[in-house]
Amino acid sequence: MDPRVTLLLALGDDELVIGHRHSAWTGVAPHLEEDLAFSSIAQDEIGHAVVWYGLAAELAGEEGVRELAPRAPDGGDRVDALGLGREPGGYRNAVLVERPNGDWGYTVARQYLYDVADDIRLMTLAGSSWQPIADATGALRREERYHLLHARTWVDRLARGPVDARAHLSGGLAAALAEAPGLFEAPPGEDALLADGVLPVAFAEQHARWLAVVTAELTALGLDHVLTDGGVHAAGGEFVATSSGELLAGDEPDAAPAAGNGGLGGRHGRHSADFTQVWEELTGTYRAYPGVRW
Amino acid sequence: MSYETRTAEFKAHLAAGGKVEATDWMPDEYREAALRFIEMHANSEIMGALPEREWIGRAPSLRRKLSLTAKVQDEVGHGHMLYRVAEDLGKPRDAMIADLLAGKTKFHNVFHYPTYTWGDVAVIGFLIDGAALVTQKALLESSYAPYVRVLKRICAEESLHQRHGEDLVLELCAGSDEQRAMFSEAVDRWWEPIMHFFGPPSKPERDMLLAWRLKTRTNEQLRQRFFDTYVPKLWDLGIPIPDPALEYDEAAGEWTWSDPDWDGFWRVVKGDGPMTEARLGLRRRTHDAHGWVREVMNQPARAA
Amino acid sequence: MERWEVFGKRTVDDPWTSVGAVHAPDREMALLLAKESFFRHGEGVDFAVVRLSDLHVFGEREQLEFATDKTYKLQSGYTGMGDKRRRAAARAVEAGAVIDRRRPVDRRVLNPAHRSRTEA
Repeated sequence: MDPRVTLLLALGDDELVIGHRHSAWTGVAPHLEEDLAFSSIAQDEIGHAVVWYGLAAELAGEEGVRELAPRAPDGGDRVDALGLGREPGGYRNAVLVERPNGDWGYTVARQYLYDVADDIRLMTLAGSSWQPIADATGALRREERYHLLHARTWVDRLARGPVDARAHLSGGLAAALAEAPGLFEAPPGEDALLADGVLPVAFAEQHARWLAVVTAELTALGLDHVLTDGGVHAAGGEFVATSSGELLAGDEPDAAPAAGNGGLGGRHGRHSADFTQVWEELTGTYRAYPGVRW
Repeated sequence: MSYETRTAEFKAHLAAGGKVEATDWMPDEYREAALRFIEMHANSEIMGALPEREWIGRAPSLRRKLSLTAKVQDEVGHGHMLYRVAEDLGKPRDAMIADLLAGKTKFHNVFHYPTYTWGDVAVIGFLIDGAALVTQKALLESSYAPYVRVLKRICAEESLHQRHGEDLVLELCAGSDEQRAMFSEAVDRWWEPIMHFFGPPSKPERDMLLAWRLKTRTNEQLRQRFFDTYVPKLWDLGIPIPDPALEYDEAAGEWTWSDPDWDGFWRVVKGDGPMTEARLGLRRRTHDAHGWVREVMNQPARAA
Repeated sequence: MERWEVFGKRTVDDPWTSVGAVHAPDREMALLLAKESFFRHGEGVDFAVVRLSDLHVFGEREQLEFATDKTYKLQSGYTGMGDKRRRAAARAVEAGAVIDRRRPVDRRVLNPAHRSRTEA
């Protein structure tokens, strides 16, 4: 498979799965106006997935899409085939985005860490030697501005809020930080992408940039302890796994990543048990009635 | 001027087609009736978001996932605007949410039922929203001006939803036998709740909402309007309606229809519907778990 | 001296609309002056003043425009309804599901199976 397709699927899957999780707050968010704001963010993220899948489908062609989504109907919508028609092990999203929403503290923490990461990723891809991907970043970054504003305003407000709010935020940040490295796990084929400039900066380097940003911002809010709680060495700014950190052997699609491995595995299609629930819900209706229009 | 005289003048003002603003003097009975009516409308919007919300995660295509999320979001937005209108009548929003969760106030009977398939989403989007649009358009004649202003925006969004709902229906009806059956079965399930939606035929002279001109049409007028628009559309699609008596009576100039189970209606009105507890329970759990967020929203930020 | 933005209502049914601003030292004076500044020709039924420093402008036009496809939020996202209605009605005929019951004559009929009766 063209490594660009693999990269686009990783990007699209992150956006789709986090958009799916975010969308579950629609109707039940903890504040009425926020319900509206967060639902728009969910919609934006799903819309971004559509953009990435569109590029992937174009690049992969009919044959490629069939190979990626063998159970998707012939002649159906190829974006839906990629978004809803793959087997669980074919999804390359980071483990972090498949986790359940938890409480609002975790939701805000994850949205913050994710959108700072997405911003860095999009800035990187804006300089891609492959024009279609570079072009796509413009519109996405315009929407990301609001996501970042939203994330930073909420993190700031919860950090300054009553002790209870601060505790909920800290807990959420520590839990999300522990799995955030998975967002920067290199997808298969990274070397080739780097070699021809499709990916101007390696994911490991993007990870370091991200860590510098979140470390500075969280420290300014007096929340540096969450970095340690989340397994990050604040001093060195690098992630240290609390276990061996080894990736799971084997390719069982639903094998859970080892606890403490930094939420890695997703880019290789290895997911937590939480993904099974996401996958069943997300793709269930599509799979149950193959080949029909909706 | 005595209370009676002011009330008489107020009634004369209404009878002449006059409007009422939040800052105007109004009889206590009018204020209470308006508050209860608009509060229940707001409750129904945010509770009405829940049945469709159940299908956001399970939508059959990415496009439908987006359009359904946006549609449910709009319903929450309607609740948001309506609570503000109700709030100006003298009850804080927090208190209204608390009363809803405690079962002290009601939400519309049609939102107490389960959803089983994507066909239910199509029925809600087309027929339930259609019934709501008929009702809300009629409310544009209401005497309470702040309500009317908000309803104008709501109706504009509802006509988008209407189109969205019809689009869902047409795709199912043009689809496979399985899809047609999916929609048809959903219509069977929802017809009685839709008949309940308009309420039993009422005596206009005993309806306080009509007396205060908070609404201007009777239940039966609205039901007939709904039949006019939606029954022929369903028949054109070859979708039967589970009421053997339903037919247009040319001589009488109106539709004949059979009474649904009104006992069932009253059970649901009293808060004993199949999904009443589950839906309130979901809202209660997220509400109870996030008191700390409300605390944050109720005070300005402090220094870090 | 402080500037106060003035919002008016043309009729009771209208929402507040910005009509201009007045310079005034306090709220009472602002209300006093706004009346004859903007409503002396009978331009409306009520007005309100807001201290300019209490108005917070978002100011990011780009953020209010759609960057990616949001047609699902617009009427224009649902086009070709007439064709879709005809296609679905034809499907009903094909499925032998035509429903032939009395309806008001002015209700437009899409299903050709009904056409003869309403045109008769």
